[in-house]
Amino acid sequence: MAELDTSAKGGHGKGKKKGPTKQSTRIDLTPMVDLAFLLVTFFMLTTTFSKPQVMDIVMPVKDKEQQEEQQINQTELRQSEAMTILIGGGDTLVYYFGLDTAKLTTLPEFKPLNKGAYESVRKAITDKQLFLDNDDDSKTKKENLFVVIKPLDKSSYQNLVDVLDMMNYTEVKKYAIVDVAESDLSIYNNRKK
Amino acid sequence: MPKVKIPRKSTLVDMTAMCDVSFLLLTFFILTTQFKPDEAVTVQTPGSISKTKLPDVDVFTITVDSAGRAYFGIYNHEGLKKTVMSAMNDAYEMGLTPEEINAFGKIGSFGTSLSNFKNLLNAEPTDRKNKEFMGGVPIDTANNELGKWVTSSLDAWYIMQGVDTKKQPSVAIKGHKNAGYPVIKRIIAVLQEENVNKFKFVTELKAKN
Repeated sequence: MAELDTSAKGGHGKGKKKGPTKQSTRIDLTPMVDLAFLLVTFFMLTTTFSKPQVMDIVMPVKDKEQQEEQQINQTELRQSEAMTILIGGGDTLVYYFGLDTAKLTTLPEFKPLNKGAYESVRKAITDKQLFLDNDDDSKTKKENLFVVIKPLDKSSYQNLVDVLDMMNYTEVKKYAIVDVAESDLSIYNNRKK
Repeated sequence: MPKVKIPRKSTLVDMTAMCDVSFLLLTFFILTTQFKPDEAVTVQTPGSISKTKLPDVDVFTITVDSAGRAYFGIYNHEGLKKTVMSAMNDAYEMGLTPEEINAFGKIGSFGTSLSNFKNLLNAEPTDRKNKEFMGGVPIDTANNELGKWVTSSLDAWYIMQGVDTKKQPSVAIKGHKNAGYPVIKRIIAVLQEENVNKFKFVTELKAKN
């Protein structure tokens, strides 16, 4: 294969002229192509094309003094604009609206990994947003919906990211990851399975 | 009837065009390639529809594997790594030689406690993923080494960039999707103790459904 093509001497029939034979400059490029593709494969396999996606998380400043320094004003959360999502173990979550937990009885549980359930929670959020915009109270607005996310110790990172993702999807601008309180635990334990 | 002679044609094909194409591709890949950083562990991150990309530079990553061990990593900046290492060496009296500090420049991410760190730096690159070096950076309140790494790294970064820099370093948490929430919570607490209140969760792209 890899020969220099020197077929010029083949000529046209007889009557060859003597003198320097013209050599063809054609070279077989197959090995070169082989090499090039080998390198292409190597670079293709080692390259990282897609950079991973990230979610930006902002936690509140803990230090009281710093809060005052940075003049973070804390507006009080309105009952009607609050929603709480409790994430428990085994890929389950429960949610309720409002902050007053005393009135709550049993809540249905949802499995966020299950697509249908995931959508129904998402729908509950969008419905609430619509309601806030369209109800009689002009103070409540869609943008003000505040979702409090409380992951229990048994929950996994995947569930937390799923719920945060839900916030992105439904365009909830205000949400926070908050530690679980005693009352939340009992609500979660009383859930309807 | 005379037999019809089919002239034999050569099967040689002109490779010039193919060669052109392959070298074009090769050039493209050489120019765009970015080598995968040497990570102590690879984790499966959860999916999200978020479209923000992880920046290339000025990133500190905290990787959490499914067993809840934390790994700290500084990528793409050998000079910064050496500064961090010598700062850590001074602060915690690790007794490292300049060669050992240089060796840290080649390490992407690690999950080794400070007491074992000298051994990690002296180990062969192939031995660095051995079990004794993969216990995770301690994050518990009694021995919070992750916090020390984060502070030293951020300090070194700010010194390197100058005081009035407009840039901001990012801290990314790259958790395995099966990692338990308590570990993540603890890491967030560690970061908040170091006054890092903004950080990123690394996720994989998922289709919006």
